[in-house]
Amino acid sequence: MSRIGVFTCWCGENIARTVDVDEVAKQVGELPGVVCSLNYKYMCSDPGQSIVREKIASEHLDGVVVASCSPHMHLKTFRKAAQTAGLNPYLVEMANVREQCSWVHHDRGAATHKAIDIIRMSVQKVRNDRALAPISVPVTRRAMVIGGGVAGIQAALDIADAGYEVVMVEREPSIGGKMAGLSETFPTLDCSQCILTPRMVDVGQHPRIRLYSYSEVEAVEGFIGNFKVKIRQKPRYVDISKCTGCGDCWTNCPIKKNPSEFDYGMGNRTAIYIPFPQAVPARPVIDKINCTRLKRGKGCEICAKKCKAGAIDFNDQEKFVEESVGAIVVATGYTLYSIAKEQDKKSLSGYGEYGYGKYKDVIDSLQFERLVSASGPTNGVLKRPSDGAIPKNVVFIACVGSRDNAKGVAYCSKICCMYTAKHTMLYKHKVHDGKAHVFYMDIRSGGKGYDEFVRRAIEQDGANYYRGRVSKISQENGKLIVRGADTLAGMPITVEADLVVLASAMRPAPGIEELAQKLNVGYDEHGFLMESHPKLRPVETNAAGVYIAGAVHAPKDIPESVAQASAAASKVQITLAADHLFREPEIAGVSEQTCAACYTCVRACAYHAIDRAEVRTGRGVFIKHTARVNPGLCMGCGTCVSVCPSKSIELQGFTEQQIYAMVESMA
Amino acid sequence: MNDVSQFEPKILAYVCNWCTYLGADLAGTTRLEYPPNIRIVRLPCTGRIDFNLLIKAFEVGADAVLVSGCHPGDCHYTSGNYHARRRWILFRELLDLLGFDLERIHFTWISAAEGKKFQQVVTDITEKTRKLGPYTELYAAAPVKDLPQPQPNPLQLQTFATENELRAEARKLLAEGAIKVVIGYGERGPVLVTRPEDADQLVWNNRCTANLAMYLKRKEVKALGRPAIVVKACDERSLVVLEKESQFERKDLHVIGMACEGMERPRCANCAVRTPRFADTTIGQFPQQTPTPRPNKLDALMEMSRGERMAFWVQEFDRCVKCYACRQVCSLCYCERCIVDKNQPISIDPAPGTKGNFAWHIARAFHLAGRCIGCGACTQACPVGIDLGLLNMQLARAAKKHFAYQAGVDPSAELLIGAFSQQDKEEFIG
Amino acid sequence: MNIGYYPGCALHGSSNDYDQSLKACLGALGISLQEVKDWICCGATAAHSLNHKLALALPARNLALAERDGFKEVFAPCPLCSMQLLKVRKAVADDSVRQELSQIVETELRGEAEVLNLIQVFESVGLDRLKTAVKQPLGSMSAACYYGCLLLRPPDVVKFDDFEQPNSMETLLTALGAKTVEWSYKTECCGAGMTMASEDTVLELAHKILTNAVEHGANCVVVACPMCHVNLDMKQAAVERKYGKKLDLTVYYLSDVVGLALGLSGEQLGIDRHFVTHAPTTAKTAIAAGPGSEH
Repeated sequence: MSRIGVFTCWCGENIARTVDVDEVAKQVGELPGVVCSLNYKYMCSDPGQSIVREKIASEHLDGVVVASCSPHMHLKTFRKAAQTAGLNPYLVEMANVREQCSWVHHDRGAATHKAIDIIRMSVQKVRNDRALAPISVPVTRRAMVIGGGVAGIQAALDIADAGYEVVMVEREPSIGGKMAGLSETFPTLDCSQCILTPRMVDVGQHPRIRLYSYSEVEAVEGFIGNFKVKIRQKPRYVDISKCTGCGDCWTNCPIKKNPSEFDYGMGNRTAIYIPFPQAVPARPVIDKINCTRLKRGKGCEICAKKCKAGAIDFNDQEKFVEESVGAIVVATGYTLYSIAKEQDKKSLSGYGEYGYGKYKDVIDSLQFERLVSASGPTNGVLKRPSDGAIPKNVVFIACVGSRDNAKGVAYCSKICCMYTAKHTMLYKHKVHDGKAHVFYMDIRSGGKGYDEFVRRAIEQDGANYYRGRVSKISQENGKLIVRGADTLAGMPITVEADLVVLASAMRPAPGIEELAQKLNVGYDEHGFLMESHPKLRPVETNAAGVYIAGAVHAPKDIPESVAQASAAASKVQITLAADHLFREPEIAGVSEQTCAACYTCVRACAYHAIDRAEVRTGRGVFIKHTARVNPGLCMGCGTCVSVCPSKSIELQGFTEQQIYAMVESMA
Repeated sequence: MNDVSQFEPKILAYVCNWCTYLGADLAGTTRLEYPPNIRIVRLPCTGRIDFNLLIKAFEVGADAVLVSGCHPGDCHYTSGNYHARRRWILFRELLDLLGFDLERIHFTWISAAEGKKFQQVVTDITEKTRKLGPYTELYAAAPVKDLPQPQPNPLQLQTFATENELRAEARKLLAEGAIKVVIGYGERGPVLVTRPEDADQLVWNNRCTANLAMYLKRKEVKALGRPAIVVKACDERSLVVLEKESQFERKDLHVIGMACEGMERPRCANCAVRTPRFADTTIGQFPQQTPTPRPNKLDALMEMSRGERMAFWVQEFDRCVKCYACRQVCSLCYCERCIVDKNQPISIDPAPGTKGNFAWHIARAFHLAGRCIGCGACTQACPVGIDLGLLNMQLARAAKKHFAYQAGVDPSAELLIGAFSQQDKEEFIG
Repeated sequence: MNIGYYPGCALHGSSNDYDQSLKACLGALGISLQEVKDWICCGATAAHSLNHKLALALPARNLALAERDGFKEVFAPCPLCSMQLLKVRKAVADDSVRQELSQIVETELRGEAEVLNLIQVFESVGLDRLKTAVKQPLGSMSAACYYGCLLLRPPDVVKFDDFEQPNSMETLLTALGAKTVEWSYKTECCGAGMTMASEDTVLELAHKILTNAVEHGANCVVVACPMCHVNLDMKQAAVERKYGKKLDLTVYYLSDVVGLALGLSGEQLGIDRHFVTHAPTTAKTAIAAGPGSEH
């Protein structure tokens, strides 16, 4: 037996001017199931809400319809009011008689008639509502940060400083990411390592941060508040708990000529090595491909002989560890587009006109950073790779691979205009009589102090900027012949360069698609992870509990990465704020006895919220297969309901029964 | 008050909460006026809007229905509108065959920022429906044109050469013990052979038309143990679909594939693949052939006018007694509790009558969209001779035309319903 | 092997020496070149500058005639003619275009015949077969392989080799025992038809090409285009005069080089008809000659 109360609002004049609210209250009062029907000037006001609460008590209402504005305005308001009066908040509906009636129709009769119809539908809906309780999901109050670049470091420190344990997983031997390899950063020309390494040390020493370096995420199970992550620790062949970082091993290693990954091939490292002196952890790792002992199974072992701490372990194996966390931040950063002919994606082709990478002195921007870095392979002296000569003419080419529909990526990589200007300045500061030539399409310098920075490069440091593309680079007598266009002068231009630096496109780091699939996070055709909403939810993803920060989301510079990381950290803190999370209960549920286990719903669910499960007796005897909704993940869209042939799955708050009742009331 | 004699159309709209509903709110906030004929049902996502809601709207007397949601790519729930779009592309084809007035069914994408578009769309639909008039042709009886009838099958029995090979294989499998029952054709109908000595009950002749895959869903057959099943290349497609829908594990079934040069029925002339492709044991071999196109009843129906089509189906469904033989005999109708048996709510009126008959056949056909393999068992089983296969054929054609998809042909292709492509075409969506 | 031969305007006219070279070389390999009957102009650059449909119809007629004559493969030694045929072949993948063009040219066009360039003709003979057929290894030849523009571009029409860093000619020549050089002007324009309209442009471009070849150690240039040959060979003297230097760089057709390797003589191949020629009569001396050498 229903006891519905209908409260029609005047909304001052907004509704009452067009809709005859007295007539409405009278007619609605005669609908089956309605025991109380009145109207009032401002239902959302305190006295208005009091009326609702009072009637719930005095009339023993089991359902409430407020006929007023859009549910997007005040549904929460009235649900709260009902709850304080002891009525389950999910037994409250709103009839939109303002935005969708009084404000758009001017014929009083038609508007009143429509308002009554709308309320009639809402009465039918609420009669079929069920009392629901918010779903409580337990929360493991720890977080994981995947990626130890500047974004990951920022997020980890924020979360850890707020009092939560953080597990950081970094696949390189050291944290620091790309920023650790940069020389100076725009627009301040701060020394990159100088500003980053203190934070790296903070991470390494933080009592609440557990760092798994040289490790990768192997598998992820669970859902928000309840993730179980399997981490694969790659073998270092060095026991970092014993190692003191003294350096006796790497200074004595006889295998010296391996291209250094940290230097992007611009310098060499030994087979046992530390990627850079300020590494965190400051412990070496052995490259098993080039190490004599590991390659052959015997021989050498100089490092072990020299190690006073006995930390070398040639029998090291990969290890698996499981960590439980409640929230995950993905901050895996970027890599640069390669101009080589071989590409990892069909949509990309290299740049044959720039040589496909065969010219030693055609390098990319990260390689240039290492050559000018004071702690780089040439100690900050800009020597070109082929013969070590100091280049007197350097050409910088912008937009290599970016903004290129034919063979690269369509998007703009955002940071290259700024770092190219920076590169010209760093170059000129080192080689005073050198000439810097920049071939650009547009200058994008929209940040704070950014445009002024670019102007400085041109006006004070004398960089030559040509608006045009480079059509070909060839090599003659040790010089690189760069042929391009100067569209503002209306002429082709050829520069004989000693060194060419390509501002290559920023792409997400390799392996991002596999990681995204493990986390159920969406990604676009370039691999960038998808945010929930580009404007209003830029750090959340459609996988509840997984957040993103930094260049894994889209090309961005250091200030934005840091800001986004703090934003993600704050979202994590909301998730971890209590032992339990409450989720809206208007979600789907399967009637397991009638489910035909065709799993169409499992395939259709955008949130992977439905699992294949089994119905068993209390004693564990198998009865049948079924689909089962995970209440921690379901977002309540109802796509599953439409594809279910037996309609064994229902969406609370929008059941078939309700919708049919609403529609049939219009007959 | 409007002129009483002017027809006021009843328009029902199903809209998504995040885009179109907010767009309608925006129209209100900006005070954009539109006719008051529309009644809006708010749902979380267009993904929630199933085809039965459209039918229900017409059943209660709507003169037009609007379905509206977020633009592709903007769905609040990522992909609900893509699933909905795929559903509508197929459903419109079925409604067209049944003679529904597609001018009265509107699909649009209206975002939360498009208050003006909402006003425009509602105004246009109201005026258009006013001109069309009340939807009185729905389920209306009218004189029906004659349609070409299929030729009756000659009954000359012809046993195929590989019959003995089949019996030997069955005998062997049952004797080995791993197979507990062979589902095959018998002299007077399908047989379930459980003992090697009964293998001679199996026949293989030009009357072996039935699709035996339907027996795989039966509890009594499942209770017998691990089965072997005799299939022709056409029936094999059922197995492909059933396996993809997790109804059995391939290793739990032994498939005996019979290469077939054709049964005595018209549709066999259209067969391209005559040898089963995925059987565990394949008996016989016939190469693929190019089917010859032939005129059929579906083409003739689609050439009729919409009203004539509706009259045709009213007459056809008039005979339906809701025996559900079509459902029982279909190998892909395996839901233990069919939607028609659900009574909270009653979405399909179970009693025989125009409304419920249409609702049942629409549901049955559409639940087989992208799944029906065209075995014709439903048409054969119908005791009152309704040509049910026409509904399935229309949807199979739609699946091929719009998605280049044929059920049960490519085991690695993803199933049609439950998936979507960003390239799914949408010229009919405003 | 029976290939449909589309000579175009050049091969019967000003590049008649290329025609001679092709027939001699391919003849020695047992490839018979049969001219497509009643062929017409391919449209060159004039047609597509004026009327898109005409630009398709002209090569469409030639392709249709080749198919009518029963050829499965068509070989057009001029890369521009070849590219036009490829362009129309690509366009008729759209059946409505195919039908329209068939109507215009009044011959059924199926668009099935393959269009080959000279390098592809040699590749279809097979590098291994060519290797074994070599009678005169080309060891002293240090060739700059010059591709020009149209042999490789537009890439989505021609779909042959890498249009920025090609090496199909080098692979072929290496198999015949020649040395090739890596140089910077493989795909740079020679000036094409500017040879009539603006000779100075051609001289400047040809000068750059020839000089770069020499700088990288080439003692000859190998081309597979009659127009390129004109600009690099016939105009070489004018280049020398304008820039005041001696180049004396033989420009061979690809078929010349292959023919020499097969043991044919310079006269058979028509090398003596080139403008820059060292008038050798035997293969040996032809190859041994280089810039500035006596003969």
